[in-house]
Amino acid sequence: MKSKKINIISLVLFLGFLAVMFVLYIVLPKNDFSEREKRYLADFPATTWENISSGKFSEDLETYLADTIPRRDFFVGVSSYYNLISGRQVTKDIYVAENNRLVEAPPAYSDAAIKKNTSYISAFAEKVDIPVDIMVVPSAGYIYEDSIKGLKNDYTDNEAIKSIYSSAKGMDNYIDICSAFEENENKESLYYLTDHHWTSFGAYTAYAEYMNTLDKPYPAQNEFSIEKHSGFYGSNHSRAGLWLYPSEDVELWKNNTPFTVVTDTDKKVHNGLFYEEKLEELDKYTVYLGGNHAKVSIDNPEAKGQGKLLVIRDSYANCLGTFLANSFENVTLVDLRYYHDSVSELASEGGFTNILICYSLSNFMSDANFPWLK
Amino acid sequence: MLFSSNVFLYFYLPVVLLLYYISPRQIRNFVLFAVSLFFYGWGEPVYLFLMVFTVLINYVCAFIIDSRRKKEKSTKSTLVIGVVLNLLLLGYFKYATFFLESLQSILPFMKDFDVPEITLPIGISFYVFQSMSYLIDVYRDDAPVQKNPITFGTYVALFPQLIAGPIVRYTDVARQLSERKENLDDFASGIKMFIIGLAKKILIANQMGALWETIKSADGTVAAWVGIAAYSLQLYFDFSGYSDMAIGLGRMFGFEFLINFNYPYISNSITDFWRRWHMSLSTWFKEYVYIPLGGNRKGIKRQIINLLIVWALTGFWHGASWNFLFWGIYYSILLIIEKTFLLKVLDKLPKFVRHIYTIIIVILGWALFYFVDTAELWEFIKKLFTPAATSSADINTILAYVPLLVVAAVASTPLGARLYNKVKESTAKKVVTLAGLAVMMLLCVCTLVSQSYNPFIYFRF
Repeated sequence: MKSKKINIISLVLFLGFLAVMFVLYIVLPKNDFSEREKRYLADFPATTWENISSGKFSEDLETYLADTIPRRDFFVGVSSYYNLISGRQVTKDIYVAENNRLVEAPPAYSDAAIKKNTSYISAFAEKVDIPVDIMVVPSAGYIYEDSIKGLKNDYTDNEAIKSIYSSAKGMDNYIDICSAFEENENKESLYYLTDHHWTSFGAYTAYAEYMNTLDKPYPAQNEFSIEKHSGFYGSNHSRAGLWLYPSEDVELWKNNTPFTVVTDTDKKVHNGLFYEEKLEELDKYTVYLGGNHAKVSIDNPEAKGQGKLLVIRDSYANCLGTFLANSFENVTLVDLRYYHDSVSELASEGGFTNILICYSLSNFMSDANFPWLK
Repeated sequence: MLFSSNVFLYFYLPVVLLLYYISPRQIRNFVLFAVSLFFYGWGEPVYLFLMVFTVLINYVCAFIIDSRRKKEKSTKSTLVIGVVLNLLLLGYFKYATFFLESLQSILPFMKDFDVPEITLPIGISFYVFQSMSYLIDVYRDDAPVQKNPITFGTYVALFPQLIAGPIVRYTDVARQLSERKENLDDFASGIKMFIIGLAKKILIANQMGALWETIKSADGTVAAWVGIAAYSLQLYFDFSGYSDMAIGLGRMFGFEFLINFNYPYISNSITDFWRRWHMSLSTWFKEYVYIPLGGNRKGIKRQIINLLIVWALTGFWHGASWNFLFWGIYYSILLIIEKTFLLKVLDKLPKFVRHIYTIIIVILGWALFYFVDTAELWEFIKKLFTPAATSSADINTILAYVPLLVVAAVASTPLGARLYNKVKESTAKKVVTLAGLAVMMLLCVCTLVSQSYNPFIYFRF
């Protein structure tokens, strides 16, 4: 082949690639939300003079373009595999651990956020006459830190949770999930391999720990019949973009109690704790109580007189809630991201006997919705 | 705007190429000037005025020099005014804060004085130096005056080399500015250079930078040496990658810039190193400072003083901070030692000894270059020379980067290029080259999307 031909080919390839990307960027509709990554994508930056002159516009635009690039999954996947093949971690946010496990990098430790969020909690505990307990869940990366392959930053979850517990004043019980998990004989099964959430087993372990603290009875593990559903790819899998990683099971721990659930999303009475139609969706974790809602109320007719529990929580309590329901007449879960009414009024008017604040460490340090706890 | 950004690759570059090539030849310089101003204003629009002002001063001064010379009047005073104005701009925007703060620390009555916070305009050290080269070349009659302000503006603001060099001398591109011929071969080789530069930057420099960031404060001798080696590689690939991209982009528009790096890490003496590292800057200082000061023609004493001045300035050019000045003086001392006797000794030594000597000096130099804080530098130097164990976590980190470190080390030598040139020209070779470039481009694009670490070190200067 002549040089000229090759030159023309390289010209066409290069310019063609840039032009195709340019056109696709402009033509394709933009998503606000990435279902795969379960996060909101960057918005187009505001075109104010202040933004432009400070250089913030160009910075934000770059993030926006990276977030909305056509065929993002493909690009991220190639980059992840390249990083892995050349010896490093998948991305700066996702690490690979043994047994095909993907974990999040250490949550950004923020002393300021801890101080701020615990101050809202302490004020809330003082305001209500009901005992308040707190449970902060460590990240999967902390529990499996020793099995993480290659380069990583150190996890400080234990210290961070200790510092949260020491500055959250006036709690009745501080539930120590770190020790319960670290000492667990079946550590491998506490968290999903591809998702940041805990598994049913992990949630059950936390539930048992909590019930032991409250000195309340709870069903043994073998009293549940466990139903497995395959084909779950969690959020870490989507973020890492490693196409070749295997999927895993989600488990539904069932018993014969006739639970009923009402969420404020559809306000209909739902029989049973599991929304099994959600098993068809990409994010199968929403099978537990139907995913995130501002408020969820679970009734257990077999636990009359055993008290009512109000849980202020993030998504980790979707799964935990399905267990807590076994030990209380009613469990109500509120998510401060969406629930902006007075929680203390809800607590006193609803006749709750216990309150639990349950967050994952990374959400606790990054959530800006604690001011709604009033 | 960064070359290694989505907005440059998918918006700026295709639009600019299209605008340029659909424009008739007479207005192509204008198109380049306009899009270059846009490029410059992208991150910091407020400094556009500074760019335009620099263009104006130098255009006018050169114009006056030229017309006075025609009238056989003295031109020296105009040159001095022009040079002083350029230096004032650079001095104010780059060095004022540093000088005032230094004064404050020694003069008690300055304590209450509010030191203004001035953000460094991107690329100012590069375009001010370019403008000065034009002015001096016109003064010396080495280059013809440029009567067209747009053409001159294009030379100063030309976006490929605007913010991180190479520092293109006016004499080298004077003709290209008015009569260049864009062609397919140049364009194709420009694409190749650009992709190679992009890969140097994204696939090697950024990763070496990430490694250095991770282990720079780690304990242990191994961590310290690997860390500073990674930083050395980051600097080279970052900067030479940028120069390659600039040269590649220049070719797409029909310009040919001189190379800026010639495998500096294979140098066999410090003298050799400075002939291979950031060549456009060393040439600038040689042409416009060293030789006018008398260079080596006025005896050894004068030469030593000249070397001291030139290298102190070179160091200081890199940033308004003491460590850069020390870094420059460090090299001037080494160069003086080499010039006076060491080169003769080195000549008799085996090759590998000379390489090791040079690379260690250069690497230690980069430590001086990196640490702004003297106490931190001292701590780091101590770590380099005190035997101590590196933690297993840090060893893990290092091991994870071994494949890339090896690739980077090999790529900083001409070994790859030599092997490549040994393969006989054939269709197969061309196809493989093309495929290789495509893979590199793909990896760059993917890495860019996954948005890891992407700073440009040389933007500070």
